[in-house]
Amino acid sequence: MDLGLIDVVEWQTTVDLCTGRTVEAQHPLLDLGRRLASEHPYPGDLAGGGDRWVTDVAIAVDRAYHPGLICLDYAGLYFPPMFGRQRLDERQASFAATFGEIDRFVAETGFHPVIVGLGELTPLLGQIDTSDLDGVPVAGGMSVRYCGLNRPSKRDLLRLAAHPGVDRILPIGEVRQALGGCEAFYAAAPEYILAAREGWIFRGVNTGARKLYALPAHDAAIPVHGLGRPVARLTEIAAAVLEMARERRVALILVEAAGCETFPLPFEPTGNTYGWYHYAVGDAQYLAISTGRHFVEFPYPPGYRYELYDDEIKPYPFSGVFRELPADAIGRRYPGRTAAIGARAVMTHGAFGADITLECFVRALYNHGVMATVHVAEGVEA
Amino acid sequence: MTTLTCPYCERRCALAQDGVGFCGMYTAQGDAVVERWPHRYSSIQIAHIETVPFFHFQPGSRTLILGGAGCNFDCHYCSNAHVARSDPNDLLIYSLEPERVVKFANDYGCHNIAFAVNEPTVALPTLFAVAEAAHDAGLPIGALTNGYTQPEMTERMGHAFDFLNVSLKGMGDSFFAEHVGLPAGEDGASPSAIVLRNIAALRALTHVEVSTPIVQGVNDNEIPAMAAALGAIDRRIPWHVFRLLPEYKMADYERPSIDAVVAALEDARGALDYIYFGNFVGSQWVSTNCPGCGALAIERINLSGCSSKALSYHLDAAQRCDRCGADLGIAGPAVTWHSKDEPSWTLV
Repeated sequence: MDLGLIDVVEWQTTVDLCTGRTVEAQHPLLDLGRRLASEHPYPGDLAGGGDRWVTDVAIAVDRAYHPGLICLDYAGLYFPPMFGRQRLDERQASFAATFGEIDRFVAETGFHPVIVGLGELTPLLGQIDTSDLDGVPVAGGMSVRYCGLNRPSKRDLLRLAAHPGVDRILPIGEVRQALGGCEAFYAAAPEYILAAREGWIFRGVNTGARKLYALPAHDAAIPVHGLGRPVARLTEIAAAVLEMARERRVALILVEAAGCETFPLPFEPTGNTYGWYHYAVGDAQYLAISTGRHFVEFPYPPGYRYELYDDEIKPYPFSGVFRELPADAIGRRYPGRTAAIGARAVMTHGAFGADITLECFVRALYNHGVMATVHVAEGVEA
Repeated sequence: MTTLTCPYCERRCALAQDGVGFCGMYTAQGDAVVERWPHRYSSIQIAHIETVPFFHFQPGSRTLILGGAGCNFDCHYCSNAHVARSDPNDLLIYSLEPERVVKFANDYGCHNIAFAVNEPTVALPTLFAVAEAAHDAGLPIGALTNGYTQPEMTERMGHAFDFLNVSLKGMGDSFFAEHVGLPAGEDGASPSAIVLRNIAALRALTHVEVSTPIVQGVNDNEIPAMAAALGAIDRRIPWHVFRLLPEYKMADYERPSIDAVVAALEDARGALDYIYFGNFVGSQWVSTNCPGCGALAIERINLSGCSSKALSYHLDAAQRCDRCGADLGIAGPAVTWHSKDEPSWTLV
């Protein structure tokens, strides 16, 4: 059973994460979540201080719970340049601040850090408007690199092929042939997946309205620090971390918007692609790192029509796209105590599967508060 | 050159030829006031109708939500200033004729359409055209509005829209002057009197719900007066009270105390049958209880901000309380979330 403690500043409630309904529940980790959520209000994605919040909460969790594996995600480098202009000196100061917070966490707790940069940002070059297509495009999200398309007309396909921002038009049969994957992925997949060139995004139904200034680059490799040995691709990180965690306490730390060009620590590059697919900050990349499975092994393909699943009985209504929390998340596979703290809403609890998670509760940059989630193993009464 | 008076909102701006008024969305061309960006939109979203929010119109339906740019108010706490107060040229990237809007609604299995991100008064000719196309296709259409329209436009909105959520932002003139940037209306009429006048007029023509964002220390003391004023129009008007997360010019203001607002709303329940308190995740005040027997009629959860979602319904076939048969003021034909999904897209 998974419980959620929601703190919206000066008011808290507890929910069953699966049903979304309010519950009365008691659990020592829930008490810890209540206290820490109250003591550490999240400052917001753009206000500055988000990375300091991650470190403060992570140190507090470590002191109270002593996990053997902790997963952290820092997003302070990601949001400001995405949604506003950032000068070079501001960018450099942001890097110093974020990695300073990571240093502070390591110094205070003694965890061995494995730090993964999730890729660079690149300036926005152009937008591909899908609203004038004859078919049914699916371009939901803030920055849509891969768009779904159903029932396209010949005119649609010709126009897309001629568009300077469109890199590939992939019939889903070709995707299956090239990448394989699970049936659930293809059951939810569109007829075509459209891929944008670097610097371009798709826009249309369900795209966020905020103006973007930058977006994730198409990085073939991302930096990994502290693993002790190179790994070929991001899906191998979790196994290597778990192996290392047999011997010592390990912190898996994800840093958004840091790539091989800007990463300030020594690193080994690791593959960030699967076939033609480039991972970027988002659920697919988090899941690939945490579970070791590529995006085609999950039922959330590019072009996923969320509205087809978002009915009254959709499980995990506070967990965005997730219809289940993966049983093979790194936190579930580690035999000891685990914790996760992050400035990336939903994915921190959805991808890592820790015993206790504290994450910001932010939707579309609106800062609603903090959510603590607690995983109560089967057979243990909440 | 002729200067024209803008006919849409109660600001009644003077529009010089090719000039603009407060909202910047209309201009004078010859003897006509025209939109500067007709049929242009900033966002197209699919959501539960409860997100807009509407709790008593087609509960559980899927809504195509349109957003544009601009506003005739300048609420200093605005949560949507990035669309209401930003350059329309940066925002209005979609150009959609009314028939295309209807096509989207049908393609994505939506039961209705709502204009609900910024103020519809700044794009009324476009929205009247969309309403006509929607009705031709059998789709209800609604909007979220601040209700500050001139009487003729109010009446046209009442006929064009099947459901409206009018924002009653406060009662006192000083509130509107200091926090909304709004002077008294024509002949010195207070802004709240104009909005209440329009709520009453619209209530006689179409389905109306009302929303009020509460700003701690600014309008929280007006809860009893607002409830009484709405109750005097019709105690069955659903009232959505929001715990505002102040942004824009008031981003440093504190969030309202939930306990204090809940206490104030308990007193207000004597004036109104349906009072909701939301705009914060986990709210326990977003479900509908039958005012007759007290039974739970529609169970909802709040997922973030206004984003509520129904979990279960306890209604009979006529959308009345299934325990006592009381009329719950639910309008619009009954639907289910998947009822317009094509078989090939129906999930097992």
